[in-house]
Amino acid sequence: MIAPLITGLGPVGGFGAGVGALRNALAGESRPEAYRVDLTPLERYLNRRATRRIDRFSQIGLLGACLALEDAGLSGGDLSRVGLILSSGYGPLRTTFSFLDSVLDDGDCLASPTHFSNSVHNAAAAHIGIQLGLTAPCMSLSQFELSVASGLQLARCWLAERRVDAVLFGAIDESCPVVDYCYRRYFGPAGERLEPWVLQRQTAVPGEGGCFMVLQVDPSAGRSYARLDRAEVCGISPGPKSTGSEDAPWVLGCDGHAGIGPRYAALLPAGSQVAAYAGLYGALPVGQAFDVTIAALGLEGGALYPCDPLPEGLAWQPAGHLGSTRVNCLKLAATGWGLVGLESV
Amino acid sequence: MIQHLPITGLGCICAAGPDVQSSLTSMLRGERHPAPALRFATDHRPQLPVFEVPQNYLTDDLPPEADCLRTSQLAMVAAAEALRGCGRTMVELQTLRVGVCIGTTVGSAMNNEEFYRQFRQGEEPEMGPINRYLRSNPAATVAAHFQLKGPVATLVNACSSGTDAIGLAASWLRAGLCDLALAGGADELCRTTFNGFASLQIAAAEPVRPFAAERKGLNLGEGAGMLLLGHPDIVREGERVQGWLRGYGSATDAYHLTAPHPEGAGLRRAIAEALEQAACRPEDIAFINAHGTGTPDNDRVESRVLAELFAGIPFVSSKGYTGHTLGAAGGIEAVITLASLNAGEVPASIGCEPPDAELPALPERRTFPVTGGLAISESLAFGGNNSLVILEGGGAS
Repeated sequence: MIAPLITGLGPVGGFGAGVGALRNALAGESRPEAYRVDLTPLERYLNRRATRRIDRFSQIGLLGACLALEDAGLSGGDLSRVGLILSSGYGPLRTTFSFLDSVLDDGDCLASPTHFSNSVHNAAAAHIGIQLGLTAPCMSLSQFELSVASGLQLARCWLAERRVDAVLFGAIDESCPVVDYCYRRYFGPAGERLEPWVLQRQTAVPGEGGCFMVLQVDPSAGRSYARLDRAEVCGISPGPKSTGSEDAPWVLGCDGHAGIGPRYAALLPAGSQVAAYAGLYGALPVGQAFDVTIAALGLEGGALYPCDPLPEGLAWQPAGHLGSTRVNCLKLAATGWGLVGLESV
Repeated sequence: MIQHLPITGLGCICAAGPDVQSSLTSMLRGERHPAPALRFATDHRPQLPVFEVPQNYLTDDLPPEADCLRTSQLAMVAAAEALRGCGRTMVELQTLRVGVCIGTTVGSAMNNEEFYRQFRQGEEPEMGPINRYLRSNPAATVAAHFQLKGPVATLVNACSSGTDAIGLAASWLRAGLCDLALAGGADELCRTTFNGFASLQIAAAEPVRPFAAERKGLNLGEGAGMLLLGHPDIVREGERVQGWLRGYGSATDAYHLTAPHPEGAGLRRAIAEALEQAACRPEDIAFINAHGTGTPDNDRVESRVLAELFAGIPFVSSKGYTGHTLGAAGGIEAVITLASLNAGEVPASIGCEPPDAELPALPERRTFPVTGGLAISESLAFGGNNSLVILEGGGAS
């Protein structure tokens, strides 16, 4: 199938907003103090009047979308053939609970229509479409940790079928007190630091963010970071049998979940070159979108960015300078896996 | 590129019936039974009717509701019927790459009201509702239940989710990502969603009346509808093909969060795409199963577009028999559309009394025979999504 180019990136997380902020964080020049998104940069693209009835989840999406389109040189152009695919693990949780607040506080008959309409899972995609004038096909997906690979798989299909000229793909998840409570109940008191390479012990810290990218087959101008060479999802097996590029380095979605971490160790043979970056963005279902973005930046520069050093006892090698032209990004879920493969341009 | 995809299995569960044939039969008889919800209570007075699936429609081999959201249970019932219909054993199916693509709304929402009530009161709610939610993502749950090894996707495109799932599965098949694909939608009735639609003031206190003059809004429903699509190369000689997916189109209004574009801009674009993919003209369409929610805005826009693009082509809304099943609607309605094509008659559009004389096109209010091989199932969604599929009856290609 077609391998579209990634021509624009729009990462938003605790590290800041935009490629520059992410590069700075990857270079160690800044480190997020908390995995929380600051939405102030959105005012550069949309005035407060335009966003006043839009919930926070959608605003994260709007910021990521604007950044990615700007990075791809598409801002302000004709976007009528730009498809939109939006993935989320859990959807707009804060808004969902705000709607329940209105039911519990005011009764069934006085529930908030604004909160309800923003709580619908495709509301963020709708807001992005309305604000940016995207009228081409639009799809929202929600399947926990598999959401990113699934969305990118669909993007490749749309571009292969020439349904659209470009795809704006985005992934969003937000933190909220209920998620914090769930973490505490499932895993005990939260640690202070997410340690991706501690595979057997729970170190996950909930994160939030949005990560957008523009995919094109025939970009008219400008640079591209990498090619999206592969996107696969399976709902039942423990991991992919083959990637077709086993010697390529791996960006692993290890994000401090002890229930999943050992499966990475079981899957990847000794000597594999690996990197993991969840320490920068936190534990969130769509974390793989950040991994893909970081891998794309690495492929553009010829080397994967450094990450937390591998501890003793892991039989892998740290990925760094890229001898390979490909990078695999693997995310394991409670059941199933999502694999995204990138190739240098 | 392969354009037309065989459909070798159909499955449906909704308030009209526990399977495809009984649902279509009851619709052809003009039966419908909207009533106040039995599974939850609300303060709305008068009580708003819904189309609830009777509990005895669910089969005994499902995971218990304590472990699995009802949405996924409904999806499994419809999926099982679709898989049975293809004539292959489960062992055979498990050796193939069978994808699962399901549209939903409630099935992906972490919105358990009792859990959240306890949480905000500072209590320590038990994690049962969260466990159930995390175990119940519809596509993954169906894939796991039947041990299907293809790609999985759960779509949350609001009321067009089921239709979009069919379109996405078609893309998988064309791209060679799987051999067969279960595609459709599933959704359960839910107190939170019920209160949400009531808050938008588009839920009627009477049985839904699509395209009627004094239509008051929608009735919510629940159910699931699934199609088993195949790659043409995988269909065996002699295997019964129940129909063909000829075309799919989708486009967005980019206009308003909860209201359709007044001129149906996105719908027109979606129709153009689907007709082009199906390589057919409007006059080739035998009938259209419209979205037809019974809300003033939806029916006005849909009537206008159908009048202009499909003048003289009969259309119906099947929501008068099923209620608006949200993420399931596109799946259920595609199944009913294809079953109607194959049966040779289409259930009347019920509830359109008196018809809205201001609408430029009105639905068929009597059961009518099918004259032609193609039909459209159409979905308009919250957020401005518009999607449709063009289906061809079995045996014609």
